[in-house]
Amino acid sequence: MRYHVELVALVREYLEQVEGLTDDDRAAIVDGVIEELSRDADRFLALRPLAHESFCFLYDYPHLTEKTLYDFDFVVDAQHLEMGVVRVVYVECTVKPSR
Amino acid sequence: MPLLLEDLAEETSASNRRLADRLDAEVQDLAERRSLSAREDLSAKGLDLAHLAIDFAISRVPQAEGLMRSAVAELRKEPTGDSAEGLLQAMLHAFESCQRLVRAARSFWLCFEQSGVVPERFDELDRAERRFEELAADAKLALEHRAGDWRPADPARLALGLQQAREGKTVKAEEARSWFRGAKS
Repeated sequence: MRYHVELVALVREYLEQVEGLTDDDRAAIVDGVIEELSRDADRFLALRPLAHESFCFLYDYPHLTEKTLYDFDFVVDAQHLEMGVVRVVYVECTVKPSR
Repeated sequence: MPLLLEDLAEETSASNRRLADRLDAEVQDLAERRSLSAREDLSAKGLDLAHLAIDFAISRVPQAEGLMRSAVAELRKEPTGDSAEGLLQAMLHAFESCQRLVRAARSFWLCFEQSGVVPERFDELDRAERRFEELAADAKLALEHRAGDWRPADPARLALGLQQAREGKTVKAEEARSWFRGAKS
């Protein structure tokens, strides 16, 4: 099953303020997240549910640039998973040198 | 009470271990024969076992994927707690035993390569090993996630995001894909 992925504007605002990323990086991250969630949201919900937020799961997305590893943690609301819709509601990022 | 699925995963682990142990013993036996300079022609029987081991290891891929699909379905019903963790542990052991089986099958074949027999289906065996690694990594991450109790760095922003999502204040994927396209940084 393919899922429809939606995002809240807060996710865009957060990605905009992550330093060191180009807009191409940001677009690649959004594309990658949408692609993977549209394919496997049910698997992520089963494997990484959030105990303190029902019907939400944690989704990890690493993005590597030449010098830096950006490790994004997204929270996805799967309340409407059965209707084929998941919503990305939160993101935070940790940054590490890639070498 | 453990799920039937957990029992199936444990049976898979046990049979993989038995076959891997047998293959490791065969490798040891062949190595000892060489060290005693009593090297004999490797028999057709040995090659049959090598073929069988490769077939069996590769055939574990759809079985392992089926186990994971069933586990995902079970975890959707009961995502946390002892039952979920027991199931994930059983899955992890099953996928790790599949990895060990692949390595044992490859080692056994390499004994024949030293005698001039060309290894067969190693590319398929490599793909199988990568798939088992992915499945094991998924199970391991799921266990670590349950043990870690992840909390957001900014709970207020998460609460606001959830509120916006539940009020339908979201953008669809097509629009989100265009967010950072157009103006180059």
